Amino acid sequence: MTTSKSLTTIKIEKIKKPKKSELKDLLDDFKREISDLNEDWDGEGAKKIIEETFKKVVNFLVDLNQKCRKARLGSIILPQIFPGTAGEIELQWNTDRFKLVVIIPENEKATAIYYATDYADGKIKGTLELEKLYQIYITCLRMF
Amino acid sequence: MLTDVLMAFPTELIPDEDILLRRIPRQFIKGSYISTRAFSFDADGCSVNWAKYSTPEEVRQTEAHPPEYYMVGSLETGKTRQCGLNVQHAPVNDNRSYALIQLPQSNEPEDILEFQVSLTAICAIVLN
Repeated sequence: MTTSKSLTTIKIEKIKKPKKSELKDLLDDFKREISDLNEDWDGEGAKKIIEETFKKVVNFLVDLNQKCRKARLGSIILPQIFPGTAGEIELQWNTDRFKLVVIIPENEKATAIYYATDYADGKIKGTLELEKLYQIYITCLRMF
Repeated sequence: MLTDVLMAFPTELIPDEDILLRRIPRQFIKGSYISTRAFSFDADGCSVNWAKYSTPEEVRQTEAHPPEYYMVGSLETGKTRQCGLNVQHAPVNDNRSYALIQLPQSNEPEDILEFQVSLTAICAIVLN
């Protein structure tokens, strides 16, 4: 029995570690991408993405990952990350069951915007403080 | 109309079956996913080009960047209207193909995001 338990533990650890590094890799790649974007990178006046906005995204995703693990939901599904022309950053989750889009604004005081759909009649949308935004991701996992 | 007399090109009704083209910077496309940022709206709307008077190759020509910097997406006019958006031909003197996708009158930020998600869902990349 003891042997079986520790084998299970080892198995979980082996799954979790690469996931953590995948999130780090994703964020590192995006950091490199935005560091190459200068003012007017879209040819229509786009703003450069500032460090503070990127940090908000890092903190949000790391915190979301921890909260999901604590809630026994496993590691987060990795989102697509896109720069926005007004200095915002977009996170986009595309799964078989739902699509969730979150816009993290550049403005420190502005709330995040979100929209999620189950590709049918189910949808949620609104604005929310960054600290509460994890609830939307978890709602998508549980509802859709 | 007076505006039609002053302009080089008349304003026409864009049929539902016609195609709209949108220039999209490569940063907005990752794999098969398109960022909602690819469809930004200003006070006039979201700029597109009517394929009746423009080709994808022409759409990605700008002074700011070489053509390879952009991809071109296509939208069916009818499907765009079915999303709840207005499509309006708005020719200018040097661009007969110019058109606008316009939002309904009042919108919260999350409503605009929903429209943008709808546009990414019906957009097909025709030039990459």
